[in-house]
Amino acid sequence: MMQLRILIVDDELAICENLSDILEDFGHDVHWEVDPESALSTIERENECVFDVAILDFKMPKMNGADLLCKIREKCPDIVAILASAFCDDLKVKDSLKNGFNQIMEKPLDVSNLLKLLEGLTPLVLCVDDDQEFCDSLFEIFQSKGIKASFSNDIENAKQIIQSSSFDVVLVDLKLPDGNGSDTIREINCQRPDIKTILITGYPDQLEQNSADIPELQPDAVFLKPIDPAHLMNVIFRLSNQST
Amino acid sequence: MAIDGFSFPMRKAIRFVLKTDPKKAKVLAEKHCNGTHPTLYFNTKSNLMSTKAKESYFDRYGQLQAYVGWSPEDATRIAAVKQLVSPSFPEMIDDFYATIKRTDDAVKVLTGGDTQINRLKQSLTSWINQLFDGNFDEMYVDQRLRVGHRHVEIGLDQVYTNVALSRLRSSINQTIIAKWSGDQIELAETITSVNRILDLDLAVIEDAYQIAHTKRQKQEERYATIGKVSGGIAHEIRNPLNIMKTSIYYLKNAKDISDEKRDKHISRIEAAIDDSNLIVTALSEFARLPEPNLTTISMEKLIQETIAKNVLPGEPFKNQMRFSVACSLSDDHILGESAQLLIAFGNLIRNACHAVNYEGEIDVMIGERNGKKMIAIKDNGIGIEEDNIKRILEPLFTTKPKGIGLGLAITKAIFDAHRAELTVDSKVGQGSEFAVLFPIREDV
Repeated sequence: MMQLRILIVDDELAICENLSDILEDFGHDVHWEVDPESALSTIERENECVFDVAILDFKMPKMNGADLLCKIREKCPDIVAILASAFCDDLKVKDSLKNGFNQIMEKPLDVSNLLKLLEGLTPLVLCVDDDQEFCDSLFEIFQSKGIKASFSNDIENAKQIIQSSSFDVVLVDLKLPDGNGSDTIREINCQRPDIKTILITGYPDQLEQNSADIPELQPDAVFLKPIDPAHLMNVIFRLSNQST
Repeated sequence: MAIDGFSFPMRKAIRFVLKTDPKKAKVLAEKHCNGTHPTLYFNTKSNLMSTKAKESYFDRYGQLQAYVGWSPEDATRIAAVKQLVSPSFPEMIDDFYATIKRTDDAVKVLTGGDTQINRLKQSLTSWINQLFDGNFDEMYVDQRLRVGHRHVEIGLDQVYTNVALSRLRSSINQTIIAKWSGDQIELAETITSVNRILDLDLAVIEDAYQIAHTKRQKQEERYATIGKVSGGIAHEIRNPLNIMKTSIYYLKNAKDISDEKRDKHISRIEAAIDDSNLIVTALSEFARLPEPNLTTISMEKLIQETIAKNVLPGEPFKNQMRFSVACSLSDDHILGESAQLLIAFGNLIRNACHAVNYEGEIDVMIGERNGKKMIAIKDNGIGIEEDNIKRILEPLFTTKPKGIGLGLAITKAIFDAHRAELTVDSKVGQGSEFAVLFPIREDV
């Protein structure tokens, strides 16, 4: 399972600690708050979103879970939000799905369901790059974070692999032995709009030629080598859980 | 109640069902009658009123008789005219039900068709015969009470009792006038007597209708309350359940649990069980609040004990929150049950702690107001919004995210039982004062 950065906000201290114990035991990185306002200041303190997943209570003092999520999304538009409520028949809670929660879970929580849900967030990645050393180091990073990944050194092979598995994200190097990464991404975006694409290149000056392309066919993200692994992980997670 | 034509176990079953659901009992009886004709009826101990209530109702009947100017002569006159009118009873009764059949709203409650109408005709026959018997005793009154009760059961609009009785009255009076051969003054007196008894009958039916209707309404209100309460409780109980469930999951599934962690989770489960128990206790306290067992108690001691019980030493807020208790009375004794008052003042003190968010000032003043002994709890906390002040004593009203809204309702109920008066004064942003004024009692 991918190691996730999880934010828990519940005004019940015992619940924060319990979930934290369980999720940390599964290798996740957990931060919890009993006060929605201090959760917000934790988020606002950072320059970028530092959480992949938020597990929020609904009925809390000062602010309910739905209002809290709205504010969290200002900084973390793509955070995966789970509402945990003891009052799921409540209409306000039902409205929450529309308010941007990805999932509603009833209290008492079914922990195995929660874990299954988190496991489902782990992206399946394909990396297409002829630089074997780069592939090896990415493999190690992915493995340490619990992300499942396949690797390919050329476009032909990559096209076959894409058919065989349901990848969430494909990383493509710009310069490949049997073609151009930008063209490959255009092709993937055309045929498989469900797959998110990331272009990797060591030559930023070559990118500008393709800027006239229509947005749908352009890569979802572009990374310049040398790559910041942590940033890459975040983008992969964000892309893979976008609109799913 | 009598149940004939059944085996013993069947009788037992029907008797059991009769207690809760007479309609179901009837279906059960008819299903198992095996070709025999079961009789199933209630005796005069109907579930409408207790024997005691019936006795006192008979007293009320006496008052109603006095109101309409009823005398024994009325009874004699009515009995004397029976011979004259009784041959026309079948005709009157046919007309009575023919009219009902023409009226959609009236006939729709008679779901049993002609069978039911024939049975009702028999009832009306015995009703009208009884009326002209001239014995206006307890049994007579009870029969009338049951008519009103039955109307609520079948959902008949009470307006039809009035118009139907008016029609019957015309039939009776016309028959008497048509067949009368004696003195005209006596005729007028007889008609007056008949009108009196019909008016009394109507009054009793109306009364019974009211009683049964109120009873039914209260029951419906109770169901609605149960619905509301259960929603609140569902939420409150699910929280500790959630703690128990996640702690148990951790204890069962985590790798290498340290002793410290294990103990922590076990005590957390225990605390969650205690919390659930508190919720159940609050509910049962509210549902069944016994009459206070009054003894002489000191108000100051009561308050000190309340604070000791509700504001635990060692809690993180103890340094930030300031409590003061001042007593200006030389004799601070009142009559009360300390167990109940501890609950009531405990709720007020805890609310004050919440209002100041465990860091403000709470002053408890024991003194006198309006010549009555008083305990006032004043805080400088968030205060209560004006719209909410009126509602805070209502059961199930709460502004707290976690709470079923029974605390202040229980508190109010306890003070009511002590005949003490609870007043609330509050300003948003400035704080609240809850003052309890105890009744003046000479024997304290």
